[in-house]
Formats: sequence, C-alpha cells, structure tokens
Amino acid sequence: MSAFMHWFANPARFVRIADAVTPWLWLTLAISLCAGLYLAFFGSPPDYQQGDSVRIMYIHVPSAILTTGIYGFMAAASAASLVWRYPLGSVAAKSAAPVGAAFCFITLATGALWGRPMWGTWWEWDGRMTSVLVQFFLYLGYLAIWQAFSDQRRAANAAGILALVGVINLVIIRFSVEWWNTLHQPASLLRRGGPSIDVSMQWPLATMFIAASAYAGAIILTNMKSELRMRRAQAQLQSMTQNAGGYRLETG
Amino acid sequence: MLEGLSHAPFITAAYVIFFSVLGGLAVVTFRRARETSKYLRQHDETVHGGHDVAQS
Amino acid sequence: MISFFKVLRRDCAALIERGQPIVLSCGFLVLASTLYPFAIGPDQVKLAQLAPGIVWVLALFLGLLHLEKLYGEDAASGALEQLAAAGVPAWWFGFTRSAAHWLMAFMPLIILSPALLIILGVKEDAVLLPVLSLLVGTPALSFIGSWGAALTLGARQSVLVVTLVVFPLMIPTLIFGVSAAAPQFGSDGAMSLCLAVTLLSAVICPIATHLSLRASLE
Repeated sequence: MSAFMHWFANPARFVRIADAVTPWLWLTLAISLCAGLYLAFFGSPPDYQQGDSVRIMYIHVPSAILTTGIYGFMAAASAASLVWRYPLGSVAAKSAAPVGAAFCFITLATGALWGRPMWGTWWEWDGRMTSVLVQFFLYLGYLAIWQAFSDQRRAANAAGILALVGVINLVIIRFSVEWWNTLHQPASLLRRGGPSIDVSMQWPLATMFIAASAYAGAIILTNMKSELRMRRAQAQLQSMTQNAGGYRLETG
Repeated sequence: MLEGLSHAPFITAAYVIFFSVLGGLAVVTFRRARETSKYLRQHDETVHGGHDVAQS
Repeated sequence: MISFFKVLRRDCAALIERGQPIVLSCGFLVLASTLYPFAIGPDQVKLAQLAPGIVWVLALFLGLLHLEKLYGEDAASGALEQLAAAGVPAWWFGFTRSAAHWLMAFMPLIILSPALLIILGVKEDAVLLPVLSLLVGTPALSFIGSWGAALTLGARQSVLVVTLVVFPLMIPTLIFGVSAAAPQFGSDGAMSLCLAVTLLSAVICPIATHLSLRASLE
C-alpha cells in the first residue's frame, strides 16, 4: 500500500495517469447520463404510491451517496497528507471539497422538492435531513478554511485537521440527531422502505449513480491538475525570488 | 402522496437544480484549468527568461 | 509539571487583570435573555418551557463571542513561541486556553443562570437541572471553541471562519445539553451523554489544538 502510494506520489506521473483516465470518465458520464435519463423518465414506471415524483429519487439518492462518499475520500486524503506526508493528499482533498459541497446542496434541494409533493412538507427536522444539513455546514467551513489563509501550507494543514475532526463529529452528529429525534417524536412519516425498491427502479438509479460518480471523478481530477499547476508556478516564483535575494546579497 | 398537487413542477425544479449546479461547477472547473495552464506557461517563460538574463 | 501550572495561572491571571471579558459575558447574557420575553410574549408557561433551550443557545453564542482574542495577542507578541521554546507542549495550551475560555465565558453564565431561568419563568425547584447541565456540558464548548481559535490563528476574517467551522461541532453538545436540562423529555441518559461529549472533546480537542498550533508556530 505504501509502496503504491509512493509510486503514485510523483506529480508528473499522476498528471499522466489523470490525463489518460479523464477522457474515459467523460465518455462514461455521457453514455450513462443519456441512458440514465432515458430510464428515469421513459424506462421506468411511476411508483404506485409516489407517482411521478419518484423520478426525483434518481438524482437525490446518488447525490446523497456521493455527499458522504466524497467526504470520506476527503478525510482519507487528509489523513494521508497529515500522517504520511503524502504530497497529493491535500491537493486531492481540496479538489474534492467543492464537488462534495455541490452534491450536498443538491441532496438538500431535491430532498425538499421531493418532500413537498410526497409528504406535504419542504423540510422536516428528521434525523437524516438534519445530519445532511450539518454536513453541508462542515463542507462550507472546510472551503472557508482554504480561503482564509494566504500561506497554502498552513491552509492545507488546518483544512486537513478540520476534515479529520469533522469525521468524528459526523459520527457523533448522526448518533445525537437520531437520539434527539426519537426523543421528540418517532419519525415514522419519513421512514422510507429501503430494500423494497422495485427492480425497474434499480436500473435508472444505478445508471444515474454511475453518471454522478464519473462526473465527480472527472471534476476532481481536473481540479487536482489545476491545483498542481498553481503550486508549481508558486514554487517557481519562490525559488526565483530566493535566487534574486541571494544575488542582491552577493553584490551588496 | 398528496392529491390534487401536480408533481411536474417539482420534478422539473429538481432536475433544473441538479443540472445547473453541476453544470456551473463544471464551467468554473474548466475556466480554472484554462487559467492555471496559461498562468504556468507565462511563468515558465518569465522564469527561463530570468535565468537567461542572469547568465548573460 | 510546575511550568504547566504556571501557564495555566498566567492565562487566568491575564484574564482577571483585563476583567473586561467577564463583564462582557454578564452584559451579553442579561441583555439577550431580557429580549426573549419581548420576542416570544410574556406567557410564563411558554417561556418556562423554552428557558433551558434559550439559555443553552445563549451559551453557544457566548462561547463564540470570546474565541477571537483567545490566542491572538499571545501569537502576535510571540509569547506562544517563547512558551513552546521553554518546553511547554502545544496540547497543554489546548487545556489552559480552554480553561481560560470557560472561566471568562461560562463561569459568569453558570453563576447568573439561576437568575436568568427564574426571570424566564422556571420554578425554583426546576432550576437545578439546567444549571447542572450547563456545568457538565459547557466545558465541551470551551474545548471545541479553543481548538477552533487555534485552527484559525492568523486567518483572514477569522471571526467568520471560526464561527462557520466551530458551530457544526457544537451541535451534539447543544442537543445533549438541552435534553439533560429539560426533565419533561424524561431521559435519564442525557446527562451522562452530555458528560461523554465533554470527556471526548477533552481528549480530542487538545490533540487537534496541538497539531494546529504546531503548524502555526513553524
């Protein structure tokens, strides 16, 4: 594992691999998005209970899975950067954050738009919704930390610590919100039948999930390449000013 | 399911939000990629130019 | 070990010398809690129901109010570097600053809270539980807050950033604290969960503070 990481740590090699992979991700996105949209709107029946609004599920559920998945990815990348000094870790975490925040926002918005025709409410302080909202604030805090420091190394360190503490917090929040919710009222209204999704709905769901994942992967890789370019330019700038300083010192 | 409430606007709004947020993010990402590669190219030029001046 | 307590004493002494933070806390509490009856209405029963929640939300704001100056002056004057050079480990700052923060923000709150609760319509015999929940839960807010302050040391617009970073982390404390304060929820476990959050943050936050401060001292 660590040998693999060291092999992967070379930025030039990473850029080569990313350049090779990204077009395939875009292709996967194009195909699966077209197929997924067709299946979602024409290839699947309306739910016998929910009617047509079940079609919101095909974007809501993949977004919700990716919201959590990307946060996990960020935390793993931050741990790799903080603990093992893996140089691409903070680049990966920083590049993934906007994508995770976007999916988190979509999860909240589509959830509200699904809830209104289904249960007659835009928002319910139910355990799952509340923890997604808190996760959105965590994403915003993480993005704000990157913006707040002019020294990028310092920002990387602070953001990494925040991502890791955030994981612990997310676990506690899941637990506390569930506990708080059962304390006030049993949330039977919003309990959805998880495993009882019909096969005709599993296909569009899986296809849309593949599309969303391919999108996330392509955007994260593109962001990482931009970030690496920025860092290289800044490193060059630094060494140049250092050289200039040395030159001045010698002549003075 | 609430009777007498059309679902179409909610479905439309959900998909519009989905595509506009992700589309917006994609545009921002591509713009940044273009800007950074332009920036780096300019930088390479100035850095190498600087070395040349120092050598001469 | 002696130097550890010196740091703690130094932090608290600096606090008492300045005195201002404590006055600020008291003023904020009295003003903010008087506003609630005007906002909600003078109904004693309704107010008494909301009172523990009100006091806990005020505690959260109060905690955020004091974060800005927690490390700022010492970082600017180089005192943190001196202490670190003298062999005081950075995680100890996590403890001393949390203690200092607790003393200036939550000590006044806990002393004033019986009066505030009674003003908000809580009966005398129901005052003890909310005060106890504050006593047990507020240290968690101090630990989390002082870590947030260490994390954002030297950041632009640090007040805004620290608020955004810290408040999702404070939500579990708020949930357990309010539940422990309100006996009508009928949950005996709330107080022990509140204590668990405090103990957990007493372990995690100084470590996180250690990592954050070490990065800023480099």
